[in-house]
Amino acid sequence: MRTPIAMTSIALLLLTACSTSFRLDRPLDIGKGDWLQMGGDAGRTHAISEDSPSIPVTVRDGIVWSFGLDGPAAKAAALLADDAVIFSSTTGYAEAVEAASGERIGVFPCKWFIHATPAVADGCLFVATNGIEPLLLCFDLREQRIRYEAAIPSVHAAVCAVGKRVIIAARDGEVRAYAARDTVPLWSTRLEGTITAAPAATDSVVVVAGQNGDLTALAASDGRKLWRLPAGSPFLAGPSIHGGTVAAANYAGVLTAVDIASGERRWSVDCGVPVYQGLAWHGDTIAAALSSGELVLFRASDGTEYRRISTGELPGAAPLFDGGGIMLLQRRGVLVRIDPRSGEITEIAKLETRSETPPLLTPYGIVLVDEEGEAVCIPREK
Amino acid sequence: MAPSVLHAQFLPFGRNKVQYANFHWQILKTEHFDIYYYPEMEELAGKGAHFAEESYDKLERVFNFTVGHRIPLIFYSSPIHFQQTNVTPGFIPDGVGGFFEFIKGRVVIPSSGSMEQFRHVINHELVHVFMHNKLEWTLRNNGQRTDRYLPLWFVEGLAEYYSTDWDAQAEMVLRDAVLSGYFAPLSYIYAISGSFLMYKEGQDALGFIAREYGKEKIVQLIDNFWMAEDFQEVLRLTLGVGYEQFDRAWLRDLRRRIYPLVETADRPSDAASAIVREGFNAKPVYYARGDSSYVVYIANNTGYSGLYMKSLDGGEAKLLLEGEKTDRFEAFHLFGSRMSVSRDGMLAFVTKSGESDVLHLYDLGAEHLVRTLSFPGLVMIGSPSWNPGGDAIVFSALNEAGEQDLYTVDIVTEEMRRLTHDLYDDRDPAWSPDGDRIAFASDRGPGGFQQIFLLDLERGGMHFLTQDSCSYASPAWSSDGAAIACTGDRDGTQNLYVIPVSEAASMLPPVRQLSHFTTGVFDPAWTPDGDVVFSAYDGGSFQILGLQKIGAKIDSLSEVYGPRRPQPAAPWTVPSLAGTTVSSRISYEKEYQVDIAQSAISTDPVFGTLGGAVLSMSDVLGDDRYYFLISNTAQTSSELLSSFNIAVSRLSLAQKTPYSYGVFHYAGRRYDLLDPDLYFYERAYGGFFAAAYPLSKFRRIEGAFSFSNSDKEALAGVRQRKALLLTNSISYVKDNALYYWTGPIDGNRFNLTLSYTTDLRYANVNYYSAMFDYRRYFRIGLRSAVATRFEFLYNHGKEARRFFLGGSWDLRGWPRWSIRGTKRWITSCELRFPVLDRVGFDFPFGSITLGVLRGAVFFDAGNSWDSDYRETLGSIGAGLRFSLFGILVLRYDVGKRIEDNFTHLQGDIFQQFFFGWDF
Repeated sequence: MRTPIAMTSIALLLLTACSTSFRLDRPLDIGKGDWLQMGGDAGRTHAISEDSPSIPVTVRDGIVWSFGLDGPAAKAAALLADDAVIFSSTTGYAEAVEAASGERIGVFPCKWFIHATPAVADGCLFVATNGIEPLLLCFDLREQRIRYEAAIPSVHAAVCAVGKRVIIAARDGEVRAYAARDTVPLWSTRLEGTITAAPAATDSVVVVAGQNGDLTALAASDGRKLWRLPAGSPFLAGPSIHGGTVAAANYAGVLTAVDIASGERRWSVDCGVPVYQGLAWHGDTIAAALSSGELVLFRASDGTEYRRISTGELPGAAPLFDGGGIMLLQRRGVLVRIDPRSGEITEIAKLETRSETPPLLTPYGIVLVDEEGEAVCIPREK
Repeated sequence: MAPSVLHAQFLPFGRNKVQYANFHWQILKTEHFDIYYYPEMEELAGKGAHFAEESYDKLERVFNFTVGHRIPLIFYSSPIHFQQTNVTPGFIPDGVGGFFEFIKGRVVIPSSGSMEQFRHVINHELVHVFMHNKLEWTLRNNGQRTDRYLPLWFVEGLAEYYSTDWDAQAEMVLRDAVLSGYFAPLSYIYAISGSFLMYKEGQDALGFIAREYGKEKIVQLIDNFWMAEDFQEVLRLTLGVGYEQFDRAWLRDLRRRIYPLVETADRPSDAASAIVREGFNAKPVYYARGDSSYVVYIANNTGYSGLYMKSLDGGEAKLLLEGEKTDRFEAFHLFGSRMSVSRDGMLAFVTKSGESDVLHLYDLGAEHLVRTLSFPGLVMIGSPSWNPGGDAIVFSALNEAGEQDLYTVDIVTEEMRRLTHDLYDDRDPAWSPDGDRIAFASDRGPGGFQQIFLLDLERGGMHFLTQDSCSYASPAWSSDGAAIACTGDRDGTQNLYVIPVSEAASMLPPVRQLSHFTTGVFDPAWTPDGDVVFSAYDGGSFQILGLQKIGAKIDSLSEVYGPRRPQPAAPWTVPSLAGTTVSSRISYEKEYQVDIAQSAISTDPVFGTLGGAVLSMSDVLGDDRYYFLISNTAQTSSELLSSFNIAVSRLSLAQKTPYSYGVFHYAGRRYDLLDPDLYFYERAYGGFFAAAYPLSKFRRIEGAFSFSNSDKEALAGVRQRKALLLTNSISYVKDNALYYWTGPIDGNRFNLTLSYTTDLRYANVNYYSAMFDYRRYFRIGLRSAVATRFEFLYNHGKEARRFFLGGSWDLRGWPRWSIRGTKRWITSCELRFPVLDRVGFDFPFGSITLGVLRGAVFFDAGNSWDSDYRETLGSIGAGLRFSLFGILVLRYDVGKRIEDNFTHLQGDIFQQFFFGWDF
């Protein structure tokens, strides 16, 4: 049945490619509480703090709501903006639904495949598409119009938004920054090697992890190289920034923490197996989901490993701290909750098929998407 | 299956895939797999389940991917059982270790008796599963069609890379290719597509990528496959280099590794005396007749494996027995089983015959077969070895449980005794000259490597003769019993070693390296003079070579490991995975899936618009198949209901006699050259049943009957005919032909069919048929043959069907299908020979091979008639045959017709261009 879906999708793409307009039933008011990239790492998305309370919701058969995307979501995470959840699919559509009910309220046709998690910045939705002519599209969410589209190189890494800047890291090693409001190019810096991992950023520093094994810091203002740390093995998962430290894990399984200002290595730990997912950071704890199926907890201050819990399954996305527990989406489509104290693993939800779309924390629940594009919102644990 | 037998212009031939064993399938469900096995191999299935789950965990991590469905694994306890699988309709040759059928995602794996090999094959096939699923997911997520495939060298190289270490066999093949100059870089690797060398080159290429560019790049080549149509471009996007640059670096790496070996090691053919050079020759054994000395060996140089003998003093090799043509010597297992000659010149060797291997005793002096022994419960047999008295043989055998153990058989009483009984792989037994001990190779030692063991028949007990972190195999006793020659891969490739043998001791004897070859050697055998003959891989062929006076040199050879070591401790074990066992006969819960679902609409100027659909389904094991056909030939809406063609049939392959049955309804206009009315409307409905009983792989008896109500109306002229038809037919078919690029080149084929059709109700039809077709191919060279055929087809009676003649497939030079009659005969004689071995183009961006060009010179004679035979027609000429991609044969013939009852030749010449395989 794949061929008819593909044919239908291609036909739809062709029909909509001629038009740059989109439909949103209500304007989205992008404010402070909206989607944060936790240091720019789109693999660790949650727009709300993990400690923030849930809003009571009606649950039916274990779910708050469900929604069928236009197509598969792959690794692009969902975003939360003004009580709307915005999904993106590889068929080239970004779709907005009410976060409380899952009802669709808008669609943004993007012409080409969406593989990289989009970003929300300064009232706009930024989508980097892949295809014959990759584009960076900027949709004004309040005025409901497309502001800008720019030709870009092929991008697999999530779009990084910090403050009023949007940063993309292209496969060919070029890192570009745009002004969010008008997408005027601000700077461009070429790094060596391929980049597929999402960059992380603060107001002043952008950190890029490359497949040549380098962690590179660039000045957010002008793209100057600030420091470079060769880590010896490719980075497939993006770095994470917390406080003045940036941490990243590479294909060899070495987790490295670096002082973000000076570029000096603070500590490194060898986990022994490849790490494909980003890290989760909460207080002084860093959680890493290894490809062996183990979840390992480290002290962020000195890299001491203090807990290793075997889940037995390949992780599908970076772990997520939530209300004292750690949520981990397994590649087979099961979301588990892990108690970091006892090591107890509880199955929270099981999707119809596999998933590697990072879960999204919203006030109404946790939003999961399976690889066929079926999204569900499940209630958060108290 | 059935009705086509009755109406085929060309009688069907073909070999038989015989279902000897009656498998009572059960299913073992584990976390990720549904494992199909039969009760005899329950323990082995548990081990396989453990290997599979272990492999799944590892591959999930490597590919960063989870397979989203349960994987069907189908296990067989031996290669002979595996060859009976119906998952694939084709024949499975010796040497195929397993396969992944990617349409339904089934993995089919036999055990060969070795746990390590079983694990390797399971790993190998699961790599295919992961790769295929990940690729399909990647293509789908990037909006691409999912029927694009990675190049074969990458697919198989990847499976080898992730399933096994780089071993001596791999090193041997690659060294030989580099040193002999036939190594194929990626730019030209299509030239060795499908070969074992391609597997190993692929594995080494990926190893080079991992070392040079990073291990993660291997899976990234799959991740990036969607980015370009051409794999070279994908390589460039991932590694930054194209084929040319990659090949330069890879070859440099290989040469650096392999060329220095030449300083310290020799090619076997340079350092040993040649006995047989060309072709694939294996398992040599020494034989003396009077003052003459010979080597007897198995070889495949013609397409058929056979037994050969060659004098050590020179001269041509003599073919003693040609295999793979007759039931008794169905398959020789070319590299699988050694042979042994008794002191009175009786050769013991093994072939497959019917449902299992059998042991033959062949008198080398009289050059005739004396006796054949078979052993119930033992599926495969290997490496027989005579005792000094010549009245008993020790051999290794694989039973239905998948256990490869040692047995002895008393030749006189045929009493069998089992010497070992476990899941360890015990093989290559050799009886000592004093009759007290048996040396053999086994993986029961620590680490799972093959070592040489001694079994003491007098006192019982078994002890190590070697204990090393490498494998030793093929032990052979010197004639005085003082030493054992064997092969070992201690230095990275298989060389010859010698072990002086004393009484069984608590300490291991020293092992001395006899040869230092660049490639690999196999199966040493001593002569009474202390020489050693063996087979070696060199220059792409397996040669028989000899080293002189080894016995005298043993003491001067250096030991390969230092101080003697004590006998090692307990052997290894393999855990089992129990899972959730579900016991079931496959008949009670068959899981059917669609094989093909296809619809089509066509428009024809004669018949108008036709539309239809076909659907076929089969169960997981391929034993039970259903076919559904529906089409409609209505030209107006009023005809719609009366113009439906429907057929439903079932084909059952699970037992030795496959059968099929079905029902049908056909209605519409037909143009049938075989029918006396030629162009007519017919409505027929009824049913059929057909079965085929295989006498062996090469012979079978077929029978069919059909029952149908037929209302026919001739459209040219006015004639209506009703009939209630009953048709019976019986056929005897034999086929052992060897196919080459454009048609058969050796062997013969035969079909005799008798059938009778009668109208039970209206007596409008009543005819009988006799059809005889014999074809024989006389080999005159490796690629040349003289092909002959004689065919006589006879129909007689009311509404007897007609045969037709004329065209490129039978009477050449005469217009196609221009000669019709209820009787037909034809004879042909054709010389077939090669013209061009490769036709292709080399472009700047790559090469393409179109096919092979062959030639023919022919003579045809025959005719077709109803009642009066008037004349014999004929033709002579020459032609070219082009095998396009190995799947379509294009034919071009020129010549002259022989006319007027063979009295004169056609004035000008004829030319015919068509397609189709040679007869």
